[in-house]
Amino acid sequence: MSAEILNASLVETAEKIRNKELSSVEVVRASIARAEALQPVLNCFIQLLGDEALAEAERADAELAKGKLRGPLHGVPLAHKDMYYRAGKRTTCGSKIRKDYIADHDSTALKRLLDAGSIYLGGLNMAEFATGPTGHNEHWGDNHNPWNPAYIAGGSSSGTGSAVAARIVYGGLGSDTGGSIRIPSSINGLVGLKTTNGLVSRHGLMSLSHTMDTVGALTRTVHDNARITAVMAGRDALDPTTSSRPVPDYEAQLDAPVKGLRLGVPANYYYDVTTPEVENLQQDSLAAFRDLGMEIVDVDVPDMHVPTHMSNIVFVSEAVAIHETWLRERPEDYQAQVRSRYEPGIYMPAAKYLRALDIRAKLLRDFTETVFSKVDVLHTPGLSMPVPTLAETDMAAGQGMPEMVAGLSWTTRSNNYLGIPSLAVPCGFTANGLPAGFQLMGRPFSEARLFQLGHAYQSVTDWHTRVPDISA
Amino acid sequence: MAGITKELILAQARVFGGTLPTAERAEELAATLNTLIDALDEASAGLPLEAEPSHMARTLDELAGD
Repeated sequence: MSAEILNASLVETAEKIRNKELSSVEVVRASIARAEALQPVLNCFIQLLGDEALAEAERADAELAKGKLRGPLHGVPLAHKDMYYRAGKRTTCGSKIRKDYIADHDSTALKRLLDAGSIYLGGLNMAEFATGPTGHNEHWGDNHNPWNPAYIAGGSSSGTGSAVAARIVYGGLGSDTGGSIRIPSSINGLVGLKTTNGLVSRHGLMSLSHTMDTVGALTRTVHDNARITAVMAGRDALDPTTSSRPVPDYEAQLDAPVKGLRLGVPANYYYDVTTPEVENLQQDSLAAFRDLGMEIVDVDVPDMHVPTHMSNIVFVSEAVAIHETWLRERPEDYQAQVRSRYEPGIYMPAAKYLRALDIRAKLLRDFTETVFSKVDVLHTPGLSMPVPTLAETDMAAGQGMPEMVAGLSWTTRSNNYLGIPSLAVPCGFTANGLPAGFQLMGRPFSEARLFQLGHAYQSVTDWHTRVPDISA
Repeated sequence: MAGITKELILAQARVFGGTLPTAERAEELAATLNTLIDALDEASAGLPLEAEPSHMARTLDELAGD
């Protein structure tokens, strides 16, 4: 019964709770039991708050019995990367330095999810300070992949990827500064959205690179992701960078026909480091879109090394602005791999950082006009290589490890600098039994279009229904 | 060429404090910074200086689709 409850989608489960076919308490109990059983294998939780969640579920059921529905997530358990603040509660950010940090305010994104009725099951493991694409964490233990625990769960939203794929929760928040939602989504066989910069408030979370940080969800279906995104999106006076644009009804547009739309395949850059096995899976997914009536169009993209380099300048500068004091006073409290990522920022001239921000709008315009004048959406690999093992990507692996780790974000990093939305969608498995995915990219604020295409793909494929066989 | 050198890194590191890079690491850092800055200088040649983040936010909004 528990498996049946947890294998359902978020949207299906919310419907069953609303119709009183299931109680929130039943669902939350199933989630807690699975989380406790799998924690020794996956290590995806930093804080599992079972008692608190159960009390909230009882309250949700009592409210529903009185006819009060809080919102479209009423009674549904979610768990989130442990970097979203709740006033008076601990938020670790996956670090030793903030292991006992108590925030004095709430994250807007998280508050909106709670106000919509979701239940907070706990804070999930993550790369220290959201830095790193693998899921290694010396402070809280490495996170493991539910498809095979010897493999990485991805990062930096490693615990969200692992917990959602393992059917512990129906979805959860990650954050994406260079691929930290999309990489673990591809690696765990999930849907993950990097939102347009400014779509979702960043108020109340530990920043990494404040002009490139974005908030988004990891889920098993596109429909689930559309629901969570709709709840969170929109203007927040507490984050002045949020857009005032009206938030579309994403769910209402999911079933719009995709026939006749143009899907771009990049002729340069994105496939430069893609392995043949991953490329074959990309071709299969393109064939599915072709069968749906879309026109597949080869398109030349601008030199993506440029925005990737610019994103690195911005990243190291902004990260050091946040971490400067700790880097001086407590350098030994960082993992060496994380500290080394920030280190170039100590020596980056301020004028170069500002210049990298200044040319951002031009590069966004160049990219948008070059690509989206020819196609509606661009399709790229989500990850360029089969998922590596934890051992292959560990600091101890030596030669070749830095290149492999850098390769994980080959297709993702530039989009945070450009600000455009990108949706990771699972599209099969490589020979090692681990998932692979593709990425859909669109114009700023074109999330509805990306959801539409991703949903159309999931309506003719079943990769998102595959369940990892994990022995607890 | 951006002109960041190992010596410059090591001198700044002594001022900054924290963990001092080895000479080998300082060489790596200099090479990384030079690559990034050279790419920036090439990409931004001739562009006017404008304020962030409003310009970026405006451009995102202007280019929005769907």
